[in-house]
Amino acid sequence: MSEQIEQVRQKGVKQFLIALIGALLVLFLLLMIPSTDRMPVLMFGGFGGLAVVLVVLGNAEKKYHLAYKDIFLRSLLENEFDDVTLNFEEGFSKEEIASGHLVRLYDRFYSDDYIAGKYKDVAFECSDIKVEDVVRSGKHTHVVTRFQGLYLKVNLKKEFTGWTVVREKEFLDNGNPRPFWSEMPEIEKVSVESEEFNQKFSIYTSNGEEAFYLLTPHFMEKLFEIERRYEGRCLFGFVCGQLHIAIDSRKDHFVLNLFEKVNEYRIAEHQAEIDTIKGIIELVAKECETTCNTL
Amino acid sequence: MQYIIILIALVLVYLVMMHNSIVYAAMKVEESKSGIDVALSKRYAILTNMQESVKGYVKHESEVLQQVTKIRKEMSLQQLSNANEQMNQLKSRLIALAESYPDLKASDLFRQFQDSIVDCEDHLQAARRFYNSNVTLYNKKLLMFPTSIIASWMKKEKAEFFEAAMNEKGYVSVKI
Repeated sequence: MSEQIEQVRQKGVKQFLIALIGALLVLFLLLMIPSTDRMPVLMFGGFGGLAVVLVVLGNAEKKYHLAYKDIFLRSLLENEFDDVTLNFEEGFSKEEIASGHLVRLYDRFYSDDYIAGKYKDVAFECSDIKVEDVVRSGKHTHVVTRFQGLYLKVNLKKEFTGWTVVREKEFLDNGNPRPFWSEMPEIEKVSVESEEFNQKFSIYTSNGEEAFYLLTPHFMEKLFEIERRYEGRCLFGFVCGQLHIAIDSRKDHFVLNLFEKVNEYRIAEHQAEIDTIKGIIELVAKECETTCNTL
Repeated sequence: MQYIIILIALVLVYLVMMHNSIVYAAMKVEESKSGIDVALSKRYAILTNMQESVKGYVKHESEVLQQVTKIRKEMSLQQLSNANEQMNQLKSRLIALAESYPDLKASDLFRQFQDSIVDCEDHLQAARRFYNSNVTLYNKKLLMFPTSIIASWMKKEKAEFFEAAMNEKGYVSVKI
């Protein structure tokens, strides 16, 4: 297994090195041009060469990631979960994320590493997502990452029609998922009995009573536990009979550098990422719909 | 002169905003109280249906199953609390009766009722908590400065919390 992955890695490294040497050669040849006005040619050659090298590197890395995930990570996941469905190239769609009212969408949206399966008879779906905002200030443009991390969905036992969002508070963010100009229906902010919970999270809902129906004291303790255990801002959404959990860890999961062999450190890191999914499901399992029949 | 007019206008706007926030908080309290009515009415309906299904099994019993107070509109919190307490007792009696009649306990219909009751009680608990949360916000407005000044002009009084504990005041004894 690891030999197959190593072969793909070495092929990718070779391709990168060939592209790099080729680009440097072209640049060297351009430098030999006996011309007083070779600057534009040099720049064209330089940027063109750089673009080719980056494309080759990107493709090689993508092939390596896919090989690692398809060959090695797949077996790891199939050991831990039942009825596994995987798609490492795609994840949740933008519309699916928008319907959760949990993560605000900006200019760019990326999603990959889709995993669906069952753990302790709880069916789940999860994926990595990344949301970027292109900020233009005068002549300058820069890209700000607004969210990057795990997005998980499970079905809840309780039936409800509205939606409720519980968002960890952040500096200069009141947690309101409804922009001022939005056509979304009115929502209200609620406070629960626990002052500690109110200080940590803001709760917005389309139905106040339903929010209290979903957020029992026991369940709030579980949400608190998730926030304590996992690094990153935690967001919880209750919509269409499902619980959506998003953790803004600012990490891309299951990645591997092209110039790094598969090693125990990386395997342990990826196992820890799988354990995060398991840990979250274990904490909320009692509230979730199970797929086995109970007597 | 114009600065004084602007200042007075701003103060008036602020007073109106405070007045409206108190009115809004009072409306939320009433709205959430109706949620308790709905949850209790639903519980009443399930329990009376459950009672009917039990009668077929216990017709030879000499005891008469209690009649609970039907939930009506405009009931005070104390009356709602008392009715809820009666329903608690009826539910306990029905469950205890089911223990004596294995056929009843095993019947699908009875189990469906039990599941419905559990869900109904979760909704009732949520309605209570939501109501109490709105009462807390409303009472805060009445007591904290500067909204307390407007509240005293409006002659507003504090709202009561909904408490459905077994040993609350106004405990109603049940006819057997």
